Amino acid sequence: MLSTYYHEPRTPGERDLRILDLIARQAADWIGRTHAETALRESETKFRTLADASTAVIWFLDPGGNCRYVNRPYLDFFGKSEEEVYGEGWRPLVHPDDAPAYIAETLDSIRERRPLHCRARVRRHDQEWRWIESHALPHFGENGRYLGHVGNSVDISDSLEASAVLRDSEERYRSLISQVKDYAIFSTDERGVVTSWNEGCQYVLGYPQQDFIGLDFGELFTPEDRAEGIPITELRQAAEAGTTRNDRWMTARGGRRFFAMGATSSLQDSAGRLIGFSTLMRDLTQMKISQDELVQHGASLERLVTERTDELEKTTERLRLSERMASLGTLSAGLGHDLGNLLLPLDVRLQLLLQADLPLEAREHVIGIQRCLEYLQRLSNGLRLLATDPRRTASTETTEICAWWNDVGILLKNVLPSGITFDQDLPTSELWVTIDRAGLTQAVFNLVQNAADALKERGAGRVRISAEKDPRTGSVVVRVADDGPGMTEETLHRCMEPYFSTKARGISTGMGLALVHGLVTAAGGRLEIDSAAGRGTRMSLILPEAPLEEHDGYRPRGVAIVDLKDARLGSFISGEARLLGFDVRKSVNNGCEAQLVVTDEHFVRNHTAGSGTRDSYLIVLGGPVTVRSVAGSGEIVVLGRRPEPETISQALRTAAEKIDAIRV
Amino acid sequence: VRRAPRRVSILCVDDNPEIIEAVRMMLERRRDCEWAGSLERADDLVGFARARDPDIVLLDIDMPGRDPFDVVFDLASHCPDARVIMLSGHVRKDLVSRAIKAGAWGYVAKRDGGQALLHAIEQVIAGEFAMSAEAGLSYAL
Repeated sequence: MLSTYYHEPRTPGERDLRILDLIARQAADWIGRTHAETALRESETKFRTLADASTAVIWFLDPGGNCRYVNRPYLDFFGKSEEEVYGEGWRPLVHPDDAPAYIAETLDSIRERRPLHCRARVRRHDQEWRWIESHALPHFGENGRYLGHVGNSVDISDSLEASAVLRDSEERYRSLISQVKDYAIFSTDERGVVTSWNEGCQYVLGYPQQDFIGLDFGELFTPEDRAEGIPITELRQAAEAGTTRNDRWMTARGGRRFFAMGATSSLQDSAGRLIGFSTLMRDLTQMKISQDELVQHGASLERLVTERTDELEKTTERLRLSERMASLGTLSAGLGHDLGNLLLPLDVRLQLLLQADLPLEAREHVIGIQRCLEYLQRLSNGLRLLATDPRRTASTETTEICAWWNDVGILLKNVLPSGITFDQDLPTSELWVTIDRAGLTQAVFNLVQNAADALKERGAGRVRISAEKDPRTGSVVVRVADDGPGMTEETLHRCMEPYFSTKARGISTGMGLALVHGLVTAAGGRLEIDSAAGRGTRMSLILPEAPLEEHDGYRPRGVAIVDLKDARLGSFISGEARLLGFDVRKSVNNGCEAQLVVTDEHFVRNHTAGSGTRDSYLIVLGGPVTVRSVAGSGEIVVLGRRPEPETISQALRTAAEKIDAIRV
Repeated sequence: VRRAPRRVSILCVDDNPEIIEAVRMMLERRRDCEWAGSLERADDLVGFARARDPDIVLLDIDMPGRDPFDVVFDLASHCPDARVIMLSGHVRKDLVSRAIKAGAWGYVAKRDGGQALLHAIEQVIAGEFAMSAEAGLSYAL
């Protein structure tokens, strides 16, 4: 409000009013200006306080590029006064190498009124060159007049250094990763699409970089694993747990399988969001194969140890058994002898009693005693078998079933008491087994004896012996079956144990089946028992069939002439030749061809070399003189004047073999 | 070989009197046999046989005194007409073999019984070598 005072009351005239108006306007103008200046001053003070409080270095250049303002941190940073840096005083602060470009860029931006952004080294107050980064914007007045550039500079030396270190480290890391060949190291995005590659991917997986980037991670899995969804499971596990470890068969390029040791880890950004996965993989196929082989070898070693242990146990058991058998054998031999000595007088006296005219009751007693005697005879036979050296039975000799049966059939039939019929079902053609004749005889003898015992109580029954080749296994089955009462389950379970017997003590030694088992096992075969109460018993010797080349002879065929002066020896040799199946004659007659001739000087006297003996196999008991006088083209064997009976038997067996060979 | 009607004279050597007695009783019941006596050991067999001139000598093996196989050998040269049959409780391949070699005409296992012995005597008298079932089996094995 404007008030005017006059010395006297009056009404202002037109001129007064104009003057007043002018004065009022000037006053208002002044007041306004004063207010503006105050505000400006306050604003400037506020700005300076603010600028000085800032940690940033702030400056102002006028349109001529002269410094018109710097804040306190500026002066502190450079260790200069305002006077030193104002005007062009800021320029010498820039490193001589950087100054031309920095100053040019600054002046250009001022001239072009555009924002400034540049870096340069400057000398700090402690004379150290420091990197600064400057940003400035053109500043315009209210009327749009350009006033200059306001800028700030930041010391970025530390950050640059850290970046350099980081860059170095990153570089080294990249170089390391890219040069690792034994490990495939790659990353994928969050869907499993490959985003990076290293040399190892080429070596381990067979993929060059261009083919690998963009590949689906799942392609590296086997089709089976893919079908089971393993790749997805693996990524999910890695996402959940951070890392998942997986050793499995994988697929390289072209379908080659390899055993991989691998791990997949999830990658997250700074906010913890999943951005992908990194995978490391190594080819451990060789190691896996070696490991598997080792495991396999370990298993087979374990199996071998188990087998050997079992074998050792069996051997120990056999040894124990054979030791017991050996001592039992000695005992049996003595016992058998003494028993045998008593059997003869007992038998003779009972026979004499039966011939006498006895009252009926006494006769029944005698018959009862005679039955006891039969038991004793059987026991004595059993003892004799036990006295046989079991070691002798472990041989690889072979036996022809038909020829063997011809020799021992009669003896075995005699084992059966009257009332029990004996059937046989033997092959009509040759059948060879790998067991020696003695072993086979003993085994079958025991089985027939057992069958006889099983039927004895009933007093009637049937025992059947059969032999056949099992076409399925190639084995030969020699079977003794009876229709007796059969075995109970307990007996069946224990019957192979040594000393186990169902028979009364004194009749059985309990060694029968253990002995049979030992004999058959030694020959590489086994004993099978099929029996049940009320169903009879079938004992089967499963023996390996002998290959043709292993046949040891015993192919009894042809005519043998045994013509010796010594009738006793002639009779013995005839018996042996008959056992070998020869049709034995005393001399050449009816013009028959003899395959074998056993003779001495006597032969020379009685016969000239006739047509019947021209090509015969000749065994001569005598000296060389005798031999010279015998004509013929066959093989001649000279045994001497008093040969051992076993030498003669062996010569006869050899002759049989050779004659068979010629016949074949 | 002397043949019927002459009876076959038989001499028995065994250290077990029960055996000798039983064999004697059995043979004396037969018209075709005559008892030529017995010995309990084989030491004096050659002289005894010369005196008694038996057709058959039944000879045990397991006896005290001289080795019976040596005696068989001696007998063959001194009394060639006496044919020895070994009558033994021991029946083994090697024993049967030794007996044959020594000159025995037969081998009978005592446990084969009286009938087997009589059958063997008949065979030997007929000029055949004789082995009882048990002895034959042992030799075959």
